[in-house]
Amino acid sequence: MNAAASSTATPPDPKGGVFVTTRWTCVLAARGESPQAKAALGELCAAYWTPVFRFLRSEGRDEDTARELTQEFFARILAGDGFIHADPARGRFRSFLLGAVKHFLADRRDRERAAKRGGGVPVEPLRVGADTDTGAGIQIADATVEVPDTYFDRQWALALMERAFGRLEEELTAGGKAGHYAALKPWLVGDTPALSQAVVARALGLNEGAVKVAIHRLRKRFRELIRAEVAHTVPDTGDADEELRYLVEVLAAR
Amino acid sequence: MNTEPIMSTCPKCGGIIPGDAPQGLCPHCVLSKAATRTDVGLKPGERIEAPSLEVVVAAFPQLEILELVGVGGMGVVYKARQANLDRLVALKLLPLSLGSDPAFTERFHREARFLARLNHPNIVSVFDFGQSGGFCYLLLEFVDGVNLRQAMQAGRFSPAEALTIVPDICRALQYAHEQGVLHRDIKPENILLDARGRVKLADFGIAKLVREPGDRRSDVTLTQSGARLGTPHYMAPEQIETPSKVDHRADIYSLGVVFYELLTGELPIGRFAPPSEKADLDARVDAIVFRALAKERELRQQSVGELKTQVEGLGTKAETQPSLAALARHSDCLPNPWPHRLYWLVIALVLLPAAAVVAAVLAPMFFARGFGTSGGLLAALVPVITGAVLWVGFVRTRPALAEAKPRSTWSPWPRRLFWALSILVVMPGLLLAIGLVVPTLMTPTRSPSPTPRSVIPAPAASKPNGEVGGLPEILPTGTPTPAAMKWHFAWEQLQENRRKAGVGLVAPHGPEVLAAERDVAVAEAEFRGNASAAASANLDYAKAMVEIMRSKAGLGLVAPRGPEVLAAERDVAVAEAEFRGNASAAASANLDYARAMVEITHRKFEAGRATQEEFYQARQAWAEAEKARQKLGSPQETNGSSLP
Repeated sequence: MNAAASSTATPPDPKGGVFVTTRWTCVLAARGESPQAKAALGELCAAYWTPVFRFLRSEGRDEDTARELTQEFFARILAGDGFIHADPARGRFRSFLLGAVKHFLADRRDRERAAKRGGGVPVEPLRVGADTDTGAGIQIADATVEVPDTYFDRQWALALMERAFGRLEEELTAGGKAGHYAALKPWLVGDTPALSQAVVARALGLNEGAVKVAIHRLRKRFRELIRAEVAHTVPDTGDADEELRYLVEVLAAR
Repeated sequence: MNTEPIMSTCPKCGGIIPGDAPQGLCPHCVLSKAATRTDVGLKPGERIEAPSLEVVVAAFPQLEILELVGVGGMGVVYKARQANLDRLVALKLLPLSLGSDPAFTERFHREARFLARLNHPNIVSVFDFGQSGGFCYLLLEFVDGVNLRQAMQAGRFSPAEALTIVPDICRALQYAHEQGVLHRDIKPENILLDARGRVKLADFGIAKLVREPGDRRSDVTLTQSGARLGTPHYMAPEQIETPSKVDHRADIYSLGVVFYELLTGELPIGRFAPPSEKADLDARVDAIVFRALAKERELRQQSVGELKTQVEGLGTKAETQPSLAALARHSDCLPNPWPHRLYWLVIALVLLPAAAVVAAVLAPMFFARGFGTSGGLLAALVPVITGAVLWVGFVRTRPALAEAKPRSTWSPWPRRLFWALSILVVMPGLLLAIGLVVPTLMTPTRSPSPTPRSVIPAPAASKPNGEVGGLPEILPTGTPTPAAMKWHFAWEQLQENRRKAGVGLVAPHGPEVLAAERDVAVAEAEFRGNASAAASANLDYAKAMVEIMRSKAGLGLVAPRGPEVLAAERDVAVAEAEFRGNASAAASANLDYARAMVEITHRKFEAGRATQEEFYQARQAWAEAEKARQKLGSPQETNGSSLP
């Protein structure tokens, strides 16, 4: 619907017959070597910085340490280190990143142990409730419990949604419909009797039919943006559906 | 990013929204909603059987194909731009298999030309059509919006919204029907709403095009597209059973299904509930929807315009009372009241005579107690009120809406039976009422000329009306004398005759009543030994009879100088003579009469209208009158000898 979107997001291809380059396919094709691949990887890493950061925090590190670690991790990924240990020919960017993080941590532990052999200092316990919050409402798990992979996946899904939301808001604001976005956003969860379209229609000065059309479009565009985001992280656009279903499942398990 | 106020629970799933939820919305609900593809009418994971984009792009070089916007049994739709006009269009491609069939393409061109002529604000325009790259295509107006199915998914329609959408659909259909085009595939997917919420009807006649009966390709299409080729829920029964005999009323049925779905969110399958049970609606909507959904098309609204008028009639909130009359103003859609009126009539058959009997009993009672005229009126009120109640009952008969049928399908017999029974009840009832009311009103006030109140036996001054009161005072005093008995019987005869006059059996001032009055007066006079009063009564009676006979003669009922008139005149002369005690004058009058009768009978005999026997009788009467005259000894010249 919005022309501005076509440059950043690829409309879902009905047949899959037209080859559409997504970032991850681009990265994979060049194994992170080509300039385009490096740029694409950079974009991806910027996009999924938060899940990695939250994952590292959840393992019991304080914010600064976690941030430093995250930075270091991404620096190594961008340098191409990740591709040495992981086989990226198959698999999704999400799996690749999680694998790489785990490898990175293991590697780091090994080095730390080697450096401080004999004088192993226990990891500092987390100070809960202090100024550790990054302001993003991060929930920090109990440090003693091993953080499951699904925690990372969940954070991943949330980051992906944040990006789609952000883009949707950008588009609507650019189209002069910031009010539409704010008012109609609640309908993205689906249709519920708790939400009154009549009230919104009055607030936006539209008739109910027009509100329905606007809601439908908002949902459609959001769906497209989500799918586009997902498509950028899978090796083949055909895998996007499956990846999306997986992320829905991850979110279902609270 | 969490600038939004965080909602504690999700309105969709009811779960607690985690603190890290983006935009404060339940992440699971948002993502699962986003993961469900509904934009092109497909379930998640369903493969789209659309021609590849390259093929389409190659087939339509004049168009800039933008995206696939819809897939259905009737083909696929692409959003495209017409570069030269710089306008958005919808490119509808019919299934590729059809393009290679010459019979189909011939029909396609014929039908498409027809469709391209439809020009209505609520109909998606056909800009162009033809064949290109093996495709049969239609170039359509691009509607920047969603279809009704998608809109319903975005939120259920409020009744008010549904009631504004349906008339728009009706307008489009009415126009098309006037142009001789049936839609044949009305369903939410084919009803579009643009960004301003305006209604646009799409895919006119495409169903017929793709599914023409007798076309061998149609079977192929049906099986190829499978379940997606239209859903039978929106099809009229006759459309499934005898598709070749479908008319515009099939569209009305389909629209009825859409209407029901808009109102209730459900399809009218099986024994479906009235819409007003499912939503906050005026109960009048039920009748409209049910009628549109009638299995027999004769029972549906007979035109889309009719349906539109009915729906628009609902929109006016002024009519808060659910009135069938309002509905009836726009159509003949009313339940048949006649069978119900028949019930009322049967009740009337029992109640009205009962009321009449009550009145008949009450009226004399009221009179006996001295109520007089007002008593009679009071008694007459009984049948009148009963009748009024019954009338209101059956005129306002309102059978249940569920029985609503177009007037043309009513059986006329209940109505005819009703009127036949009405006449049977009303006519005797009317006569009975006259018989009761008129005498009670007339008797006390009326004083017929020859027998004024003086003839009424009224010795007791305490009974000013004297009507019934006179008699009991005569009879109980000692042994009833013959004269008293005669007076009494004469009185009863008079009452009897007046009653007869009341119900129209005899004239109110006719001979019967007058004679009875005379008899009463004579009997009273004889009872009192007043001979002159008796003679006076006889004279009055005779004079009245002459008047009656003359007026009858004036009307041509009797001959001007016929026997009846002569007899009456003779009676007057006799009565006058008797009143004066002049016996010979009476005899003369009798003689004149007898002689005149002989002349009349003779003329009749000659004309063949009287027998010889009658003539001889007349002559005999003359001879006797002559003798009686001569016996009185008053010699008078008679000139009767010249008679035959």
